[in-house]
Amino acid sequence: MLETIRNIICSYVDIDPNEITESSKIRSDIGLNSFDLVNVAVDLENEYGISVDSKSFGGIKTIGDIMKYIESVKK
Amino acid sequence: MEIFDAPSVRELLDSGAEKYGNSTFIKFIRNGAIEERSFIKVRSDSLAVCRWIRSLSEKRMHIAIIGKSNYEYITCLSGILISGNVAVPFAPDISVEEAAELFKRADIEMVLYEQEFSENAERLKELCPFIKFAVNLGDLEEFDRIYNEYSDSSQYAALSDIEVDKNACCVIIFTSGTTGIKKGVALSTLSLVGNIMYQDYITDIFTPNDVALSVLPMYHIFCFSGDYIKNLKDGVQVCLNGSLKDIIKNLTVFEPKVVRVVPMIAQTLLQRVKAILARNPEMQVKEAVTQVFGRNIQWLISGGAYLNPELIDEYEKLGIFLRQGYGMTEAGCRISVPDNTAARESVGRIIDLCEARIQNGEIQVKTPTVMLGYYKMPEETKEMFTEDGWLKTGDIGELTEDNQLFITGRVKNLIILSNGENVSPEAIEKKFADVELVSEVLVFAEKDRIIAEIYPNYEYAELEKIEDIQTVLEQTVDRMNKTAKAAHIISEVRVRTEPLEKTASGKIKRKETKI
Repeated sequence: MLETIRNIICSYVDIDPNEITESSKIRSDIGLNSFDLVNVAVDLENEYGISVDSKSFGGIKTIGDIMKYIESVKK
Repeated sequence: MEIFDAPSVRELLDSGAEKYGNSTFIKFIRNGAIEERSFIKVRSDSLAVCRWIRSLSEKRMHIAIIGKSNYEYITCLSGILISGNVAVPFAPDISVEEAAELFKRADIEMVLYEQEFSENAERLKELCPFIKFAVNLGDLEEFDRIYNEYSDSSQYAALSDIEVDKNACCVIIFTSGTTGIKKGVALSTLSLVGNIMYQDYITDIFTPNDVALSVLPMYHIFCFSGDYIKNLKDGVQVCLNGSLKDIIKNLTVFEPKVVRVVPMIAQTLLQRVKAILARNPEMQVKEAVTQVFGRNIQWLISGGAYLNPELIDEYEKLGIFLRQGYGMTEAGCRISVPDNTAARESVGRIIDLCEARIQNGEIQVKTPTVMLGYYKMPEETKEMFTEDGWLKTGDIGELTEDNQLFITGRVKNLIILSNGENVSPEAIEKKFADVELVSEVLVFAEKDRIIAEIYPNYEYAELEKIEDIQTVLEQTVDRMNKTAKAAHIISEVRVRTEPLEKTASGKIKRKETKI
C-alpha cells in the first residue's frame, strides 16, 4: 500500500518516492497543500474503490494515518 | 466631469442573447452528462427567476445565496440582480451559527442554498425567524417549473419590466478579513458591471466562443466578476467546474483556453505536468501539457494571493501564460490586470478606470467602481478612506510611470523605525527567496535595528558540507546590505534550530515590533 500512496503523492510534489515513509508528515515533510490533498483523496478513491469523507480526511497528518484511514473505510 | 456609466446586468444579458444567441454560454456536468445552455436560454431562465422572486414579494429583499456555482446558482444570481433585489453570497461550508449572525446583520429575508448546505437549512430557519422564503438550488424539478411557469410568454411576463437603479446596492459580499468582524461590502450595479468595462490590454484573449473553466467559487468577487459578468460581456463560454476535486478531470473534459486560479492550484497543476514528464522521459512537453490541461490551454490568470514569479517561468516553459492581477472587493474587484508586456514580478497595469497613488508606501486608489460602503458600518467605512477620498488598500507597493504595479507587503506588517521611516519586512524577506541555505526567514525590528531570524535548510547545509551556518549566513546578509537602502540594512542574523512559529493557516507568525 505504501508503494501505491508514494506513486500517487509523487504526482503532486517534486520528491524522491524513497523519502516517503510511514512517519512522513504530509504537510511539513512532504509539502502537500490543501488542493493537493483533495486530489490525493480522489486518486485514493479511484485506486481503492472507497469513498473518502473530506472532513475526517482533513485531520490526517502522516502517511501512516492515510494507510490506517484506507484500512478503516475498506472494511 | 465625465459621468461614469455602465450597462445593467439586464442589458448585458439582452445584448449577450442578441449578439451570441444560440451559442453556448454555460456548460456543466449533471448526472454524468454534459449539459449546455445558450446565451438566449440563460437570459430567459434568469428573467423567469426575476419574475418568480418578484411574484413572491414586490418589496425589495436581501437574498442570501449559499453555494459555489451550479447552473441554478447562475440563473438565481442574475435573476436577483435584474429584479432590483440584493444578492448576498455565502460559502456553503459556513456554519449555521455564523450564517444566522450574518443574515441578521445583512437583513436577509430569503435564502437560496445549494444541496451541500441542505442539512443545515432547517436549523437555519429556526435560528432566523425573519427568513420568509428558503429554496434549495438543487431542487431541479422546482426550477424547471419556475423556468416554465414564469417564461416570457407567461401571465407573469410584465413582472420583469423594471428599471433597476444602477446606483443602488445590488450585492453585498462579506470579506473574510484576517482580523475582527466580517464586513459586508455593498456594491452597486455600476460598480459590479462598471469594473469589467475597462479597456483590455490583452486583446488576443476573451473572444466569443473561447472557453473558460470556472474553478473558483462565485461568492468570491474575483470569480463572480471575472468568470461570470466579464465572460457574459465578452461572449466567452463558461464551464462550471463544480467541486474542487473535479478540476483535474474537468480540465480534460472541457479543454478550456483560460482558467482563473489561485496560486495553489497553479502550483499543483504544474507538478502534475512535471510528474508525467518524469515518468515518461521521451514524452514531448506539449503532450504532457495536453494530458493535464487539454488541447487548448493558453492562459492562467491568478489572483487572491502572492504568486511566485518562478511559477511564471515554469509555466512559460510549458507554453502557458500565467500572470496575476490585483484588486479588492472594496474597489469593485479589479485595480490592475495581467498584461503580457508588464514585468513578470508585477501584478499587471492599473486599469484605465482607476487612478492609483502611493502614499507613505501604501497603494491608494480612486475608482468610479468603489464600494458604496460596508453595509451598516459607517465608522469602518470611513476608516477605509483618506480625507481626500482615496481608498486605502492596506497593501504596500510601487507604481512605475507606465502604470505597472508591484506589491511588496501589507501595511499592518510595516515596521516603523523611530526616525519615522517605514520598512516593509516582506520586501526584505523576499531577498532570501533564492538563498538555498535559508528555509524560513522572519524580519522584525528590535531597538531600532532590523533583525533577520532564519531557520536554515539543514539538509542543504549537510549536503554542501556547510559547518558554520551562522558565518555563511552573515556573509550572505553582508552582500545584501551593500545594495540595500539604509533602512533595509540587517543588523543581526539569528539562526534557529526549530522552524518559525506558524498561525493556524500555516503563515509565519509576526512579532510585535519593539523599538
